[in-house]
Amino acid sequence: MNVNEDGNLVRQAILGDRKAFNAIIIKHKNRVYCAAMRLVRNRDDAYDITQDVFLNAYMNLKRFKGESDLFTWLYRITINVSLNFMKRDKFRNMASVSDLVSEPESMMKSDERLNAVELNSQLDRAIRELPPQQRAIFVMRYYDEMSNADIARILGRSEGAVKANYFQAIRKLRNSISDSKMPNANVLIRKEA
Amino acid sequence: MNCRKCQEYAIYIIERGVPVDIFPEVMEHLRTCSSCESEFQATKNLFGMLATDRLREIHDSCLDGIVVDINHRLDAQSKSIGFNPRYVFSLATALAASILIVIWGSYSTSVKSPENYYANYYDQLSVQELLETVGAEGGLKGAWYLQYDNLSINEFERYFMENSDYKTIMTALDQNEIEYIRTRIDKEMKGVS
Repeated sequence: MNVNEDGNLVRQAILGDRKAFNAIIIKHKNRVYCAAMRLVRNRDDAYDITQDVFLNAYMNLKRFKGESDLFTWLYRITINVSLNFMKRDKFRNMASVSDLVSEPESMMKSDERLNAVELNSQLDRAIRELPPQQRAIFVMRYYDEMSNADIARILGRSEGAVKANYFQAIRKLRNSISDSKMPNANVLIRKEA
Repeated sequence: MNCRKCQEYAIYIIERGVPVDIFPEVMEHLRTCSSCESEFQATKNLFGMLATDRLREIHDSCLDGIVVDINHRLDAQSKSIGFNPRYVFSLATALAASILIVIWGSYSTSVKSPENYYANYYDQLSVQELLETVGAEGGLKGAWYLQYDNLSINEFERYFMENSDYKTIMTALDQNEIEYIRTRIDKEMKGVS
């Protein structure tokens, strides 16, 4: 699809067709939410950010030139809204790990589940301790598998800066994970492998 | 191969699951450098943990109501934009007062106060934390990040190319670096006040 379909929806939405805009939301809400969730690692905050992204998009639809696909444009807004959120709320307590538990893990055996929860708690903490820009770069490259060039374009930074920040993010994550010395981490990793 | 290059390769190798033996130089370095070997294992461990992160695949049903929520907010926004001539005077007064408050606020805090200046300058830390970091002997590493973030990418590359022992740099600053940071901070502080 989809560029044409998105383009038509955007044109109709600009003319005030709310149904067309709702179709845009329905089509892209999951990916926007996933991107926000990986950045803020909290379900409620990701939900709020997703709303803000679409409101922001609605107000600025006329600026969408169609040079990139619509999701790329929405993704850029998501990153900016999430970065602002992280800068604003950086010292706020985040959700407990249980907030993030998803269905497949509820089917694990209890000891595996405990390990998974501990590991994810560890990761959550380590990732949330990264400075916002580094966190964004790490999430974009690791989870969303974007190239350094694309990340640099979205964040308005040089490729070298993206590379250096990713390197730093990995170093910080590695240190904070090894500092905590999770007893069961290797066991779970072997099981997953 | 120096340690920094080896660590960059290590991330590349682990991230992409490439067999390490296709990089003989890296293998040779890892065999002879225990520090890089342990960093390599730690990075491998980190990526093993990341592979188990539940946020790689997000299945969330909480988005069912988001279209309705966004539409409510759009409706609320469009209502609040509605114009009533009765409120012209109060609106103008409120606007003028807001402008004055913003101007006064930004003048008295951001411009005049070095503390606020630094909070903006390095916004990962609260003012208190920043001052502690800069002032405390053990916190000079934080001050190093302060100026590191401000390096151009060329400066960054040059610096690290000239200093092969990356780990040593990050854990212990030499006197020149400390002096450099202090001079730079002093200069910035004078420039602000």
